[in-house]
Amino acid sequence: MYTIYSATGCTRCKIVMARLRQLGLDFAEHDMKAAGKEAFQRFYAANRRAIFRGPEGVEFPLLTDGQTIRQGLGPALAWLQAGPDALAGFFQVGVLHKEWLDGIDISGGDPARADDFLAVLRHLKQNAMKLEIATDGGNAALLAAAVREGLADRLVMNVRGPAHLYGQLAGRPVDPADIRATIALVAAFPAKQFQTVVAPLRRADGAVAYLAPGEVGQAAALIAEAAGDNHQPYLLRPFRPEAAADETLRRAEPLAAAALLPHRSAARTHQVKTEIEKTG
Amino acid sequence: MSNGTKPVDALRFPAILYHREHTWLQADGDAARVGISDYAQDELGDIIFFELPAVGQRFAAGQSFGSVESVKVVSTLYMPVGGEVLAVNDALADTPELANRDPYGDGWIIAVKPDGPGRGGLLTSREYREYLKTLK
Amino acid sequence: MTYPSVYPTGTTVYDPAKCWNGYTIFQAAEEGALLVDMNGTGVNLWKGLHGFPNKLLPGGQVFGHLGVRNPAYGMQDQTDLVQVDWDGNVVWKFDKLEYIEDPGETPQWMARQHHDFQRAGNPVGYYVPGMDPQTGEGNTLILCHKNIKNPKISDKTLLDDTIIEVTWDGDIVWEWTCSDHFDSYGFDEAAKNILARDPNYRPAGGGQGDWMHINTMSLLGPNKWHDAGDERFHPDNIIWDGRETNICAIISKQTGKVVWQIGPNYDTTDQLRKLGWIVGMHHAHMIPRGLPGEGNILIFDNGGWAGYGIPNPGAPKGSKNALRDYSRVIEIDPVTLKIVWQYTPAEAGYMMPYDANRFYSPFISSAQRLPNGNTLITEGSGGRIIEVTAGHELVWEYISPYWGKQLKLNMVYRAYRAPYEWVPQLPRPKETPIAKIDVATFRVPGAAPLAPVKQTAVAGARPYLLDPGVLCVGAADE
Repeated sequence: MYTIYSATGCTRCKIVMARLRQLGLDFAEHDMKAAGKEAFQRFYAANRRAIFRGPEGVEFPLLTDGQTIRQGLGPALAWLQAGPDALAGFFQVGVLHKEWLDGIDISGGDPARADDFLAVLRHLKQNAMKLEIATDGGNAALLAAAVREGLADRLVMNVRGPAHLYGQLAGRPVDPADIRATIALVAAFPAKQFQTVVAPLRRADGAVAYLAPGEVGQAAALIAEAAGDNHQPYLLRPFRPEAAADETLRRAEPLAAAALLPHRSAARTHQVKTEIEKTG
Repeated sequence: MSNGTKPVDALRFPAILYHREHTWLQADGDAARVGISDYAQDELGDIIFFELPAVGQRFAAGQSFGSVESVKVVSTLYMPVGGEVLAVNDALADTPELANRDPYGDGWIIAVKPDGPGRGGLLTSREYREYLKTLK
Repeated sequence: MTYPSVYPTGTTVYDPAKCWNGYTIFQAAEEGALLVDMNGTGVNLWKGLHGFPNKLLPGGQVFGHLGVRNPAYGMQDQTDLVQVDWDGNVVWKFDKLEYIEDPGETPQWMARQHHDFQRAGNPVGYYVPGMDPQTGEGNTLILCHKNIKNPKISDKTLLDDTIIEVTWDGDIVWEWTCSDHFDSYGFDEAAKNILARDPNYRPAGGGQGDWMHINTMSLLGPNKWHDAGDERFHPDNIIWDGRETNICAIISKQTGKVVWQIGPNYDTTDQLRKLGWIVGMHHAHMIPRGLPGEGNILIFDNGGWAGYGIPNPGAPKGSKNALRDYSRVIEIDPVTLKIVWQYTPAEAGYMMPYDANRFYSPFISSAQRLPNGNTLITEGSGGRIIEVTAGHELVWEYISPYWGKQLKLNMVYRAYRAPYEWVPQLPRPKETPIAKIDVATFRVPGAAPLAPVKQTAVAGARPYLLDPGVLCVGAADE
């Protein structure tokens, strides 16, 4: 028995409920703007630490079976497709609204579950969602399959850094051929964005230091080499220490936006359209 | 915050004292009650949770003493005066929307023993209303 | 108003004893950067070196640009900023702000510079004792363009102003974007309304709104206000003005925020009403330490047409709604906003307002304070550069003899005076005084002399009794 917390007029909630019905699964709905208000308050008070808030507040739907909670359209459908954890890493709660859905990370999940993953994307497309798919270069073959099938509407590639630091920045071993193949796929896609978070990392001598301008320049050169041109939309993003998983990195002093100007100069040598993300 | 649905003139501000961060203070003998203003509850929308201090905790004027969470936002609660928490409105735990329905009555948040008679920096209802018009 | 079709050009008035003698650099229309001595001898023409503006550097070097972007695609975008030596060699160049690929043009990096730049060592780009601009090192602040979308201002593509600081090696190390601070400029609803509909739309590149049109940018430099603790006037802070909005602002170098501002409206306080409406201004800058008037703000208040606001008969849509048909140079105290010195048609000796537009340049123009207290004024639209004393005496006048072939104007955007010592390549030039010609008696060949050949007495004619009250029109403020 599932419980879904919804909001009046929430299309994404309706898509999940339709899926539950399609799969013949029992569920109770609590609309937090109507009769389900008190039930939602109780649920929220008990689980608020696990509930994500985007820029516009609590994201709906929230789906639970009493033990597991999945929030947002992607994660909820992924659960119904393949169980609570099989597609973990592929789907997170996004922040985009209306017909656009983000929070899909093609390099974040297990490629052995490609069929289930693509099935979720197909279901989303059948429901007229536009999908923004993120990647850091892993699972290039899966990305190629999704693109081939027309399941992507926008691609965002997080280029972690230059090739020699890529694995360390990604937090897992990476295959350079996979990265290059992904760059080529993204570069050839009509709606795309390359971006690099100018992040700190632990260096060989143990010190923590941010990606240097030259290293970001190398990342830009990597894009140029694999994409075959120097005109890709490329965004440099400031690192947000508070969001870092690693505690040492969480203590890093944030860089001022102006501190990224030398990085931009270095990157523009290889990607002439490089810009710095506007913040605040 | 700019989510409110009502113009300032449609909101209610009884003759008590208000803090610029949208809490109110109402004297009750030696003690005083603290809550959020009609403006604050309107901006927040459906309130779903209060995180509140324990009885006996002390706070300075302007210090954060807790937070209020609605579907839209999480907002910090600020002390209108310095003082010690004498009581907490337990009803808010089960029925946080009391602060939406009756922000100056059943939706009160804490009772405090103010540190002194000073009420510097707090606004009258008229001043608070004028101040809000500069925010809208 | 009446302008003669024949008049002398080159130097027309020169009093060496009262001038602050030196060389004058300006962009001779469609010719290049021209350096002239006081008698108007062109001592060096850097042929084809564009100048928006040209500025002289110690050692006989000059700033300019190698080219301009095709006006079909860019509005006033200079391709680069270059420093050129006496012999025309480029010794420093910056162009790496934006990679531009215009249809049919060779793709290239461009600075998109316009209107101004400042090299470290000197806050304003003209001679200040003890503050020579650096020539072999140092950062440069450059005013540039970038195209943006900002629905808060308008749904149209906007030509925005950006200020960047670049190192000697060409790295950008600081950047400020004008539209980021839109909310702080104090536009009223009427101004926002017309800005949204017509953000000064110009045709280049399929159309772009040159909404602010910053036309000057300099540092404050060390000053008495900051010495006294007023942080608004931090020496690193930057002053600019926006021709289209009638705003003059000082921004914090640290935060980018506006810390001091006059305009867009001049009717909101008594101080501003006394100052009078500034229209389409140019070259607002703080007079640097070491020059008479230091700490005051010198502005060429063009008049003409500028501003966004409530429509009126002269501006039926509210665009360029402030109008005035004469110019004035004003020196104001930035704290009290009082005018401490001015040069208007009245000081120039013209009868106000009837003859006021004899001192009038509705666009371009500038004013430079000289070490002896004189002021070098570029009345740009007519190519007139003058030097006046603190007491308003005209001691030097030069009319540019260079008319453009594409733009049929002898306009001078901005002229600067520099000391002879900045050009060590040349011996100090001879200074030959030029007395002001009495135009009532001066005749071109073939013209008759002044005096009538016959005078006839008229019986009963009484003396002339004249004052402005007898003219057909009253002054606007009568």
